[in-house]
Amino acid sequence: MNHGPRISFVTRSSTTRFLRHISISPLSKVVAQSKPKPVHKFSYEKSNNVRMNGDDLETPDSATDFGDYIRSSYGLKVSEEEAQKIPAILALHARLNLSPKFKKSTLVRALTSRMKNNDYADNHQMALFGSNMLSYYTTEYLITTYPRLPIGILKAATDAFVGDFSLHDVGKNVWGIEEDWSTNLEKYLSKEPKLFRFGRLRYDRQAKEVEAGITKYSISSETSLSTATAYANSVRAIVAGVFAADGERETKDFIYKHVLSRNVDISSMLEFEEPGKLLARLLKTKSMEAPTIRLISETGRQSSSPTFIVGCFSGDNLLGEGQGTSLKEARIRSCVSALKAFYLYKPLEPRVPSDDSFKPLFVDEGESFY
Amino acid sequence: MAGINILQQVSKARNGVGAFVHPCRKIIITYCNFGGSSKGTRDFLRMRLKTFAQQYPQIQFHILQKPGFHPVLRAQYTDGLEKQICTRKWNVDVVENKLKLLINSSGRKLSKPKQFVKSLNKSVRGIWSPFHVDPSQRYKV
Repeated sequence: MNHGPRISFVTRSSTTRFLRHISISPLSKVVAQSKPKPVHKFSYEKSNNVRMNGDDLETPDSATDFGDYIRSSYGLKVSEEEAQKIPAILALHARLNLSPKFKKSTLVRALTSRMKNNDYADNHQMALFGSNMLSYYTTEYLITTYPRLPIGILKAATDAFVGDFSLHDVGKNVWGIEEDWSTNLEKYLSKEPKLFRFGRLRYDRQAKEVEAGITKYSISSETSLSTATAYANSVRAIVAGVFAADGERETKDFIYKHVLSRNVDISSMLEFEEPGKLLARLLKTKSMEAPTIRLISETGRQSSSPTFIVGCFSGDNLLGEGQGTSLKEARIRSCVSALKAFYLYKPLEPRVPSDDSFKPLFVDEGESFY
Repeated sequence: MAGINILQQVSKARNGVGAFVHPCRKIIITYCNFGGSSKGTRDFLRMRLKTFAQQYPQIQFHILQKPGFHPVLRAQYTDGLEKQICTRKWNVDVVENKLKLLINSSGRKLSKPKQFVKSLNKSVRGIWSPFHVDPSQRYKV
């Protein structure tokens, strides 16, 4: 179809001129492209649509032997003999009580992030795998221990265990992994063997100290990482290394020992906006009687500091108790404790699906209202 | 979920609850090759260091010659803390004991605990409440 004469004085190939989407002709349709919606991801959710080229990968006979995949696209590699000469690596290996099957060169690789000018094997793919292992065992542990946790809280709790900040603390303050801060010149002056730098965590920094007292942030390139992410990735890579060396049982044991043994107070993660209303709706969906608040005991009603103890009942069942200096405060607290008693229900001796003695358990039907 | 807000958290370390990771990660021993004050430290390095270091594979031993200075034992811990002890004029045994002292330390400063029990967990029994005591047992004003 002929649309008639198109009036244009600028050649269309110079795209830089059309940055603001000003149409040059009434007929040419320039649709303002809406930006793709930012997808919120937790820091432990890593491996969406990350694929490897088939040529780079040596695949084992059985596709599920995840420990036997070997990436062959690296120019350089720190050999096992060389890795055994690095004191920091030997000490870290002994400190984490890793098995003799866990190679020292794997540890070197776990401490090397993907960097711009780096030909050595890096931990990128290992970190992805380790991240999946960590989030799997954490999620299964949380779901079986707290079967009624709302999905948002469950994800946030997983993030509290295996998110970047948590694993940063594991790597830095518990395992004592050092960062490679010194420049090449400083290393030369201190007569440190070149090999020793592989014993420290190396990554492209997002923030750099340009001068004393001046820090430049957001130096963003494809490979630059924040300190927390870099540390977390090295921890994830070490988890993947444990899998490759010792298998699944040991990995689970390792994760339980080092990550799930840490303290997270899940009851303080929930904040209810209107606890009374929420509780009423919850009881309705569970076809229980509507909540009633009854005073259990009180003192000093007329004084400057009264105290009330209030119970939240459904029929004859006491769901929660609250204490406060006013009746309203006590009532709200009682509703909150009733809601927490529901959401934080914990079965006796929870078993996770990866246990041998696991029997299918009753998981609550979930959130039946929104 | 509507009506429930999430308060983000980061897990806190409890070293020893699952695995115990030795807090001391590096020992730096500096000594002078000629000074009289380094004699005991030199003896330690010559005679005992090898067997001593083999007992602690989790610790990195770093020996530095620093001519003209008194000998110093410096320990670095996993949470970034550091402790030093000057071993001037001390004999082999004292040096070894001081090294053990550094290795067995958590790196934190010594302090007198105010409570007998220090815990991240809330009390299992809950907070004591006067209102739940049986009325006959209550204190009467």
